[in-house]
Parts: sequence; C-alpha cells; structure tokens
Amino acid sequence: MTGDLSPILRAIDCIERRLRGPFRVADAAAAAGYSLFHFSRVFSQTVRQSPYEYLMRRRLSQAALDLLESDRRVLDVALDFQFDTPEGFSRAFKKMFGQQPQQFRKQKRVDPRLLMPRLTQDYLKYLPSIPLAPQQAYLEPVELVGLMTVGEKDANPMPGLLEMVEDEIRAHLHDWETISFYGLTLYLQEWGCSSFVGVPAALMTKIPFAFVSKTLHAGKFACFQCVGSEDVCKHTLAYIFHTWLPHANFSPQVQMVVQLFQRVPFSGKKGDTRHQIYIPLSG
Amino acid sequence: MAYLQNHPDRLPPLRDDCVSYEVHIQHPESAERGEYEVFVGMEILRLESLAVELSVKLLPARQYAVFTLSGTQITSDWEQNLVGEWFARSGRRADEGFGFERYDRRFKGLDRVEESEIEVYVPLLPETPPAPPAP
Repeated sequence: MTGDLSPILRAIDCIERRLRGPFRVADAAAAAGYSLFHFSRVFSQTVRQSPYEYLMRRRLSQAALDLLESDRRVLDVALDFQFDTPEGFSRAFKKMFGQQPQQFRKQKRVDPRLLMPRLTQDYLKYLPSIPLAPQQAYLEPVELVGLMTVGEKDANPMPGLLEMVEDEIRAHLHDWETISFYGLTLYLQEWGCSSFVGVPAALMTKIPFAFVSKTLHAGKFACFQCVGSEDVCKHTLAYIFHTWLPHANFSPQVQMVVQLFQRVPFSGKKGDTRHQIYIPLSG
Repeated sequence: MAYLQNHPDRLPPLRDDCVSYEVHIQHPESAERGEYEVFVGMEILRLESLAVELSVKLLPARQYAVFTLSGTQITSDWEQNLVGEWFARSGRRADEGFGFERYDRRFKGLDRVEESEIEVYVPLLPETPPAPPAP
C-alpha cells in the first residue's frame, strides 16, 4: 500500500483531535473522504491496525502519560479518555502495558517503547517494507564487551553508543568495518531502560577500560531485518511494539531486545546499516 | 546494590559477599560537563554466563595509593584533605581517569558511619624518572 497517504493522514488528524472526546469511525472516514467500508479497509491495510485499535492505543498512551504526570484520579483519567467504566479502562490498560493503572501509577515508570506516538507520514511510508511476520532465529550464547548507558536521558542512545564503540575498537581490530555489533536494550522496572552496544569479547585482544562485559544467553528469537538509516530501525521497532507484539498475542513486557548492526559498505549513503532486531520468544 | 539485594537469585558466585566496590570513572567528554560514571558492584569468581542485566567491569592490575577512611572522615572532603595532601607530599601523580572505594565488613552503613571504615583506591601514574643533571 504505497498510494497517496494524505486521506489516511487526515483521518489520523481527526482521531488525534478526538482522543479526549466522542469519536465515531464515520468521522474519520469523512475526514479521509472515503465511504465507511472503504475507509476501514484502506486504513487497516495502510496502518496495519484498525481505526478503532489505533484510537484505543493512542488514548491509552496519552492516559498513561496523564497518570504519570498529573495527580488526577484514575477514574477521572478513564472518563477523560471516554472509557465508560473503570473496569473497562483497567482491562484495556493492562492489555497494553501489562499492569493495572493503579500499579502503574505507584511505580511511576513506563517502558517508553510501549507508548504509541501519533503515527507519522515517514512511518507509514516505510511500513510496507516491514515483513508482516518475522523469521524465527536461534542465537548462540556470546560474551560481549562494549559500552552501556542507563536511564532515559537520551531517547535513543544506540547510534551514539555504536559510534563510540566503533571509535574504541578501531585501535584493537583491523577488520572492524566488517564485523557485526550487538545492541541490547533492557527494560527493568527497578531502573528503567539500559542500552548496550558491543562486540564479541573473543575478537578483542585488549579490552578498553571504559568497556563492560555482558553475557547474551542462547535462545529462540523472532527476527526482523531492515537496511538503512537509524530511522528505519526506529520504525521497525515501533511496528514491533505497537502492532506485531499485540497481534501475535505476546506479553507487552519485553525485557530485552537484541539488535545486530552491520555497516553497509558502498551503499552510497553514510551511516547505512543492516539491522537485525531479535525479540525473545519465551517458553 | 538495591537490585542485587532484591534479586539474590541473579547473582553469580562471589569472591566475598560482604565486599562491594564503587568505581568512579571520568571520561574526557563527560569531564568537560563535570559529570562522571559510577559503577557499583561486587567481585565475581567468573566472567561468563551472567544474568543479562548485569555488567562486568574489569579493574586493572596496577599500582594504587590506598587510603583508609575512618568514621566521619568517610563523609568529609577526604579527596581534598587526605588524598590531596598525600599526593602533594609524595610527589606522585594520580591517574584521574578513575578511582574506587572498597566497602567490606568494617563498613556498618551510613547510619553508623562513626563506627565504619572504608578504603579508597587511587590509581598512580608511573613515577617519572628524575631529570638528568645539567651538563
């Protein structure tokens, strides 16, 4: 689906204006200039979510931010976002975030990957390149060394970490341009997000003092691949968290995401990277 | 440390479960902003097969100046008073890239700091040979 995105973007505008007010899918269809039936079909094909699902995920994401940033009662936040009952709100909230709103508010922390932002034209343009379903993959255990950062100070620390690790290992590896870098993103309730970028320890003759070691345990993963700039990786991760995981009925609480990066030489674009994104398949 | 205390099952075999380290690392970029990295951990017996949320930092074998801080010295400006004075007297120079504190059974907690002792390790730069006599 790569046609004119403007009707869908107008519909998204319409939904975004009604997150806190009454909404009918027919309003979004009218904004797009389509019949209700045609709109629902085109929206679902383009966004890979139904209009109602998009509305719910956006309402719940905004409600989660309200719970974190305001002291309004859970019931009031539920009513603000047009939920008729606190039970309905709690059920939908738990499905999206893996915990009840009261528990969520007590912890005062949200996994930022679960909050769905307003979807953009860039994302929708890229979406057709993402495979609907991932491949299954097995990763061997590996001892890694690299740099890590903890906290949400930087929304996406991976590109910066990757550059710093490349700078460090240039002195220690001759063929550093051809190797794959591992990226790990961990989310723990206790301390939030931490990010790590490194290389197999076995490749290094000397480990720089700034580096830390980590063990990646063997396991089965769902693997998504993409090639391009950091934005491409960001869009793929957004698709995984906001569409694929909920549709595949996986728990929204993904503790770890593994990424493999390999620079693409001679691609003509500076910074083009082959990304493989691995989501652990538990059980 | 709170994480390790709350998840003892995630801990690998330790050399001594009463000893912990607080490592302060200053990178050239962060030093400009007056920031430094703090790494808190315990000494482990093997590097492999750790829980993925844990990270390992290797403390290099090298010469350190070791200072024992007792009681209220622990919460005083010991860096300036004790460590700074020793370096001024000794003529040695510290490697300012990192340093660490070692807490063992002698540390009773910040609520009992008067009864506590900790050790501070400051890495030393190699001694510079004396300048040759002028001809």
